[in-house]
Order: sequence, then C-alpha cells, then structure tokens
Amino acid sequence: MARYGMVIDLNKCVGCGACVMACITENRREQALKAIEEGLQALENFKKRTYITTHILGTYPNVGIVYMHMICQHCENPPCVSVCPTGASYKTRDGIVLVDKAKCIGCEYCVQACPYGARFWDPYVRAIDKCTFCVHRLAKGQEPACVSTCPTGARVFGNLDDPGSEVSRLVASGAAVALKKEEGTSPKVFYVFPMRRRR
Amino acid sequence: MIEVQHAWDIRIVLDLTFGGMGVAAFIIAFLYYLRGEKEFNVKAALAGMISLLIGLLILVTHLGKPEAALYTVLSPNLSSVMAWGVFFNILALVFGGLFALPGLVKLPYAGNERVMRLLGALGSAFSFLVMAYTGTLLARTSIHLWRSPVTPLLFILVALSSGVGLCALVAVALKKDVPRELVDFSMITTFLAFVTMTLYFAVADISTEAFRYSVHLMLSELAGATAALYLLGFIAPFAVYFYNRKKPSRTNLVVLAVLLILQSLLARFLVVYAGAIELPW
Repeated sequence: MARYGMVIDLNKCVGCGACVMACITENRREQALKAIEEGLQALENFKKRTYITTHILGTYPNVGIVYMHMICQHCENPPCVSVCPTGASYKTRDGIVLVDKAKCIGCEYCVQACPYGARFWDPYVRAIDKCTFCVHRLAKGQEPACVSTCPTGARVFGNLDDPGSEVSRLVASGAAVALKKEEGTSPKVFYVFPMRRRR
Repeated sequence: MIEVQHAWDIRIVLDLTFGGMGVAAFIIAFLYYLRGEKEFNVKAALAGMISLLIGLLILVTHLGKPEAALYTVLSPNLSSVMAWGVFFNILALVFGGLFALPGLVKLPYAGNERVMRLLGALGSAFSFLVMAYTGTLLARTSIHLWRSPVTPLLFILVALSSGVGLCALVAVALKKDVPRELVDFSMITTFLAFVTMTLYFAVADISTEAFRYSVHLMLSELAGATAALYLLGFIAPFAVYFYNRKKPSRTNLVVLAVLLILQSLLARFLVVYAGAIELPW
C-alpha cells in the first residue's frame, strides 16, 4: 500500500501552464468543450483542478517571478472529508482524497472547509470536483497527467513511504515544505520554494 | 491571497434565520405551555415549526443536487456537523410537529397531557440542538471569521431574539397578551448579541489576516448592513422597548418583533457574507 504525495519545485517551474492543460485534457475535457460552446462567460467561470498564479517579487533591479501551483493537497487529515455529511468525500487507502459524485449533494460544505481552496462545484457533472492525483492513471501504472507533461520536471510524484523515491528524498532533505501546517491537515503536496537570487 | 467566500449565499442566510427563529419560538412556546396557557402556545409552536420547515425548504433550493439529499440519512458521516444537523432538524420537525399539529387539526393524543409534554420536551431538546447547530456549522470551516466560539454563541442569541419576535407576532395576530418577562428576555439577548457581535471588531487587531479582512469587509463593502444591524437590530429594539414601557401598544410590539427578527437576519447575513479565506497561492 502506497502513500502518494507530490513535490512541486517552484525553482524549476517556467509557468508554461502545460500541467493545467494536461489536467483539463485528462480529466475535464467534456466540461471544457461544453464551456467553449457556451461562450466567453462560461470559459471565464470554468474552474480548474490545478492552476498557476504568478507572483512578482522584489523591486527593480532585483526582481524575480514565482509561479505558485494550486492543487488539492491530499491531506492526511482532510477537513473536507470530516465535514461531508454524506461521506461523498473520502480518503483511499493510498491516501488520495476523492469524491463519490453520486453521493455528493452539492452543499459545498467541503468547499468552505478546505483551507487551500482546492474544491469547486462543477455544474456540468453536478458534483464537487477536485484533483484526484489522476487515480485512473495510477491504476494503470502511469503518473498523473500534470507530472508526465511538465517539461522541466517541476512536479515530482511518488510514494512517500518509499525512502528510495524522489519525493521521499526531497521531503526528507527539508527542501520541500508543506503549506499551512498550522491547520493540522498534514498535506501530502510539498513545495520547494525559490532560493533568493544572489547579487 | 485572500478570497471572499462565494459558495454560500442568501439562501443559507435565510435557512439559518428561519431555522433558528423557528426552533427558538418552539422552545419559548413549549415553556409557556408548561406554565398553563395551552391552546395559544400550541399555535405559537406551530408557527415555529412552519418557520423551521420554510428554512429547510430554502436550504434544499441551495443544494446543487437535492435529489441526492437522501444520502445524508442513508450513509451519514457522523464526524460531520451537517450530518448531525440533518438528524436534529428531522427529529425537531417530527417531535415538534407532532406537538404543534393539534393547533391545526384535531388529533387523538392532543388531550393527553403526558403525551403532549413528552412530545414538547423532545421537540424542545432537538430544537435547542438545531439552534446551536446553525452557528457550529459555520464554525467548522476554514473561514477564520466563522471559526470562532463566538459564532455559535451569537447565532444562539439572535435565534432567541427572533424566536421572541415570532412568538410576539403570533400573540398579536391571535389577540393575546405578550408576557412582559418575554419582552424583557429579548432585551437581554439583544444586549448579549450586541456584545458578542462587537467582539468580532474588538479582537480583529490580534487575529489572522483573513479575520481582519472579514472585519474590514464589514466596515467597507458591507458597511450598510453593519450600520443596519447596529441601528435596526440592536439600538432600535431598545428604543421601542423603552417607548413601549411608557406608552404600551400592540403596534409597538409588532415593530419590536419585526426588529428582533431583522436582528437575526442581519447578523447572519453579515457573518456569512464577510466570510473570507486566506489561500496560500
């Protein structure tokens, strides 16, 4: 039994957005096509399982740019699971947090409970949607679509319980850190933050 | 990045307001039922249950997939406040409804005092749990303004205020007297709600960024609602209360009752709409 996790190295990210597009193509293609048909308003409101925000740091001439990645953190103690009234949100034995769309009633309590804003209501499938770590690809022995697409290898995926895996080594090195530790959620997505550039 | 919550809208505010008001009115009506006045208080309890039902119907319209709502009963997640809330609401409606229905139709057990008292007691117990649940629901989220012990307390206090308001409206409609101590009680809950609400502002400086942002929202974009809450929800009820003590009239009581209900609506509106979350992106 694995304990899947991800490390996102922000030093390596070039902000190309390939991970975002790969995720949409892999998981939300039908919904995206419907949004395209519906027009600009629907496209503007189209929610993504993962997205990138751009942050400009410093002042001229010492300016840097950082691309931050939003994705479900697949917490060890997921608040979205504990608040879900029907048990539609659940954690698999591999530690992946998923949504049983048939059981989801659309109360959006999990949206309010998630400290990372990783969940959203999908009007096309009428259920809450979020990153699944591409669980269907994992079943076939493949990596999540965003990981296999990233041209710079910024996203690393693997078993956190395997000391030999790259994710484990990155986490053990202390270079990769979890976000919002104070929430007590124990996220399984870690970030390597940009190093300060030397003059 | 701080993001204002958009998942819950006015329908949640209305559900919490009607629900809180209904269960509080039921508890008050049952307590007065025990003191002797039977017929009127059964009708007041019925008004409470109708209010609770209206709140639940509004909630259903907010659900993205209401047809799946049965899963809250079929496969409840007992660690969820909402799942408990569903049971409390259902049980309050069942026992409270059975207690209050004789106010509408003749039922065989209506003359049996022991049965009525048992139904009323069970209805009141679950009603109190519903009243506490409305605030706890918000407190179990990642929104720092809501995630405070103050939120359930505030929601209980404004529920009690609005419950008195609903009972007073029923009394005026049925040409009955509104007990003096009940009106006095609503002033105590109003004062405590005022103090509790003000605590949000008082502790903002030493709170998280998201909490401060929520308080900033209350004083900027939502300043109209904040002013309305303090003027119409807190100050005006006291003004009407003291005026009514000098010159008692039914009109004063109706105005007071409406203001008490408005207090609950505005307080919940403000807290829900000022909810903001701090995202790490």
